[in-house]
Amino acid sequence: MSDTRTGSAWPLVLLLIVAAPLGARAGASAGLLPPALEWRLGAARTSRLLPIRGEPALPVRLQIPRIGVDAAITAVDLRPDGSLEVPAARDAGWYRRTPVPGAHGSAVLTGHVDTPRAPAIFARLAELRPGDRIGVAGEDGWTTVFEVRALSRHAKAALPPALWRPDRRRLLRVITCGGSFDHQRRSYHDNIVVHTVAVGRWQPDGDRLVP
Amino acid sequence: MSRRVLIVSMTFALALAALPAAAQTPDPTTSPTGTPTSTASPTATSTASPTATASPTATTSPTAEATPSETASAEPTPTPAEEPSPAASPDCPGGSGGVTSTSSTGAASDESTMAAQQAAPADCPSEDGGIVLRPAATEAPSEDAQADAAALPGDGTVEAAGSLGGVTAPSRIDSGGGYLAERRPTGLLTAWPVLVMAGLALLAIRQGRRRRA
Repeated sequence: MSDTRTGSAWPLVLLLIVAAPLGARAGASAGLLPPALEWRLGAARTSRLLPIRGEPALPVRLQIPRIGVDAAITAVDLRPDGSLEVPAARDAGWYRRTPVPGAHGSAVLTGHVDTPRAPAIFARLAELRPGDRIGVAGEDGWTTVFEVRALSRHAKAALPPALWRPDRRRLLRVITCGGSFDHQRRSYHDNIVVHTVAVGRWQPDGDRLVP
Repeated sequence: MSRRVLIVSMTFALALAALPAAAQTPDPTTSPTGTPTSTASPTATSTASPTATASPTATTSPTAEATPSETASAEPTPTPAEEPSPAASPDCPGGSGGVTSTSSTGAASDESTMAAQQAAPADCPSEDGGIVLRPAATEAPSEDAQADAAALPGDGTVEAAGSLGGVTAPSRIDSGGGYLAERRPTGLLTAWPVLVMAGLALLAIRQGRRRRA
């Protein structure tokens, strides 16, 4: 008798076992995860951001809730051949010759779209839309919040010089690879550029903004 | 019977949990995935370039022109975080028309696809040949918004007078290994969890009928 009861419950149990990871995956693909991160920048969106004054601290963490990015930032520089270093697959790299994100000028962050074996930090970068928020946390605990204005795509050999020009405003460009893939050279043909502008800063402290 | 079903289902569930995130990630080699948005508004276009229409096939076609003030807007910034914005022209540069692409593949349709899915009413060819995707116009642009637009490549980046030095441009940025390009999930690969669930549901129904019988 009890065997019959147990047997009748198996299909339901099995469905739950299968459905649980499916649900979690669907949530992740919808940009709902990680929830804590979504909440944090969501709070920044609805709360009053503080004006940016002075020069921000060195960047240590990048947050892009829309595509589930919450990663460490490391400083990168040019290689001897003139190409830009790219950090580990799960990190973002700040090009150290550009301004600190949040400072006047055009700061540049870069990162992998994928590796030969797996997707990387910016696998979903091209999903960003105008109005999406990007947070760059500095060593001092303050987060500079940027808003996406546009995306563009350029051949790697023809990145616009304007990306590297000085600017009076506080810009951030996030760059990764895109376009078609050259299987012989093992490289993508193009670069995807996300253009953002700073809209304020905030310092999360529980659920409050600390000036 | 139940044990067999359990073992098979557990195996599927474990495999599902271990399924790489790539199966859910967009293919960066073409354009952003997601629902193609039909956003090309006849009231928000550029006077200088044709607008990429937001059709799933991503073709480009000219659209009606609008006043310049409607083209370079961005979402209104809720709080000003900047010093007074520098004056700048929000228009696309030049008047040559035609969306040019710097894509080495020469696939203009790829660019257009991207443009369409970015919900950009007007794609402006930059002076460098790339495409700048403009955010949709929601209301009259603020000074901040105009300044934002000015900062994008190709429309007259405002430069400081000498106080900020230039940056050495890298010759190349290689940030991809090809996983997403080479392991694009097929329809069957992405659909198999659904098939498994359907199978289990059928199994459950059959077992229920047996017991009732």
